[in-house]
Amino acid sequence: MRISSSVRKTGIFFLVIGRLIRTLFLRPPAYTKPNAIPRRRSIAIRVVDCGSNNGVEQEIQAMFNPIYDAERYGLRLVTSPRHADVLLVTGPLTRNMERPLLAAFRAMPEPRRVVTVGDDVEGGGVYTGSYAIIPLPKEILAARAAHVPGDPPAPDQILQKLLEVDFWAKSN
Amino acid sequence: MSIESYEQFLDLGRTFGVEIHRPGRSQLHFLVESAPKLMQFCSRLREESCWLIMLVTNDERELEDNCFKQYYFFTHSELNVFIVIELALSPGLETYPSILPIFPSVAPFEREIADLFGLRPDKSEDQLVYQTYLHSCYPQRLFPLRRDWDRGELQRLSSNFEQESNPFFPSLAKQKGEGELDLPVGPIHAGVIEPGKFTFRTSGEIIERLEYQLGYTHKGIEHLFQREYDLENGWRLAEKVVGDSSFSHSLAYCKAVEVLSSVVVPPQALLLRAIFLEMERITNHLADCAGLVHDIAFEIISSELSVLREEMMQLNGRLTGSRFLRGVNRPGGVVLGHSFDGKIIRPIIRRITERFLSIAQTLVEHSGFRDRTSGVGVLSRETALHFGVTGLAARASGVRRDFRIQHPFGPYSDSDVQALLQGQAEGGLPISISVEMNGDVFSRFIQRVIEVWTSYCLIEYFLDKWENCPPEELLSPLRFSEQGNFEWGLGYVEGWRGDVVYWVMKDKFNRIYRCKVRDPSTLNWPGLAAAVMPKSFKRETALADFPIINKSFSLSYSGNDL
Repeated sequence: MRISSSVRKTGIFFLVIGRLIRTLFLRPPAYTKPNAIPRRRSIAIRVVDCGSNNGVEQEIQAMFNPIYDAERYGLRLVTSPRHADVLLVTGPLTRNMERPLLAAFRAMPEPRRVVTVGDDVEGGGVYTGSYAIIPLPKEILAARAAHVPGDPPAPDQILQKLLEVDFWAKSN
Repeated sequence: MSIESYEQFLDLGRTFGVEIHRPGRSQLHFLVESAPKLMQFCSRLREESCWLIMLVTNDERELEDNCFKQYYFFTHSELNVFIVIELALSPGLETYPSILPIFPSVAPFEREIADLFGLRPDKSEDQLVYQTYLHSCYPQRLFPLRRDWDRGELQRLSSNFEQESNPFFPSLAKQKGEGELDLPVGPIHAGVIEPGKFTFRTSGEIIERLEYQLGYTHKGIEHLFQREYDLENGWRLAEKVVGDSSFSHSLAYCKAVEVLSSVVVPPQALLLRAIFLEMERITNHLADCAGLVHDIAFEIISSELSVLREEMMQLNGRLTGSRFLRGVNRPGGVVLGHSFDGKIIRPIIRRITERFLSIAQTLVEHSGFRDRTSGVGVLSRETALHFGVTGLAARASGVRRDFRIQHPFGPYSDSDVQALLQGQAEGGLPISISVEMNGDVFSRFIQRVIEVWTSYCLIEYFLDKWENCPPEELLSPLRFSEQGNFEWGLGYVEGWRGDVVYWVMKDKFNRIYRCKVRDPSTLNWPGLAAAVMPKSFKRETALADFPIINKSFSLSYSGNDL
């Protein structure tokens, strides 16, 4: 189809003007770009299994494999609660594990947060009604910043939650 | 005289007890009247190289016999037969005759019974360790699996976490030699792993003795089965006993219920069950090898293996909707959300297996890997037989325990499959490994490689036999007998760690009266402790070797603690 030269010139004019307006006036501000999130994200994670059946642990380990690679975001596993910022608590809390869990939590230096992972932690799941399961202690719930639902949650879901949560916000 | 046939076992049992008829030809049930007869029978079984599968205690004081009953399950190394010995304990007595001197593998069960039922073995020497499942945060004399246990007393219990649980280990009470040190590690470990407390008696770096205390993940599963679940939906809890063996546990449970309901599972469902069982085996062997190599600090190979494991998990998710193959097994068959398409499995599993075998070839030729794993954590064949070690750890030590060979179900009974499992099929492992299986960490790694290859061949074989069928034909409805007696059924499957056995007794209303869960880890933990301790090996175990040995066994804490 042939376009007449006057139509073509009008079209090019509006194209150029539009682009000029967009670059000069309608630039999106930097903080809405998805890749540039200027908040502190690097955390040292200690994982404590409070009685889980190892499914969640395997998915947390999978979070550090080359496919999901949590370490590129600055999330790293540490071997002692004294080095940790965030405690990942998995599994329904058994009576036998209450003391070790509290010992680990109390060993963490301030500021510290807790993230509970898996549906079992919230009220037991399939284990509801067992004599051996107790609810999480109040001090751990008070420090809880997030909960990752799932039975067990997939590694990308855990990673997504850990990246979304702003641990050090005033409200948390 | 060694026993070679079913009839000879029948005659042997009849000399010691009364035979109770069981349907089918695979289970021989004998009621034994007295302790001496039990001891003699067990000694004979030990001579015939029978293995103890498990010991179940049942509170039958409400039933007709008004006593606690103990059921001993044995299996033979060659024949497809289970020998069940039933012993009624004297009412009012809280002791039972112990077969520990004959079968040392009964020790974990005796500890469990002491905690959960309150029954002690008579003539109990100091070897029995208490407080394994119910630590000191539980009140004394709390026996949750007794039917008359009142849960109210637990509500009145406040958290008693000030008192640390320190059971008495007689072996550690011995005088320490010069320079010896007791090093407690746990219950929370440095890695992302389940909790368990290990106490090492070390002289310098060398481990003289390992004592372990488990039970930290005790969730009261057997009590939950009785209280909250009935026969149709007990598989939901069975899947959650051990997270990475969901399929094998739920399959063993479903098989136990199918025995009770005498339902015929459709053959295509059995084929699917076999395929998924082998897929679970491959997935977990890959994960274990990744963890083992990671503990050896060979991160590049470990990362590759974890990628392979992730690909298997994603395949599991695509096929069943669950990365851990959950929600697939039902009593009576298999339930899948959409029709099973075998075509997508083949190329993925072939690629994964080939990649895994080439990685294994690299590792076998790598001097660093061999130095760190050869001669480390040797579990000799005699020790494995002594402790009744089962499954993968036993096979790597030369003890051929495999329920796929000895008690096959469904498509495993085919002669081609049996030839493949026994390593006699044409065309063996495509990579060349000449290794003597002496039960060290390297042998267990090679055993995993062999099993991944075998599972790949089995999946190919089963996929050849698969025909597409609609989902309705994969599940048979359960039908329980109208009389509703207190019957029991045994379900058993070769999971990837070893044989998973479920014993389910139902009551008149088709609820679960008692469900005994036995993960292979229960039998293997003593084997791990034995593999760590030096006993005339060429190389003593240093503390740094312990994570590698632990990972090479890769036992389940949650499956042991229940």
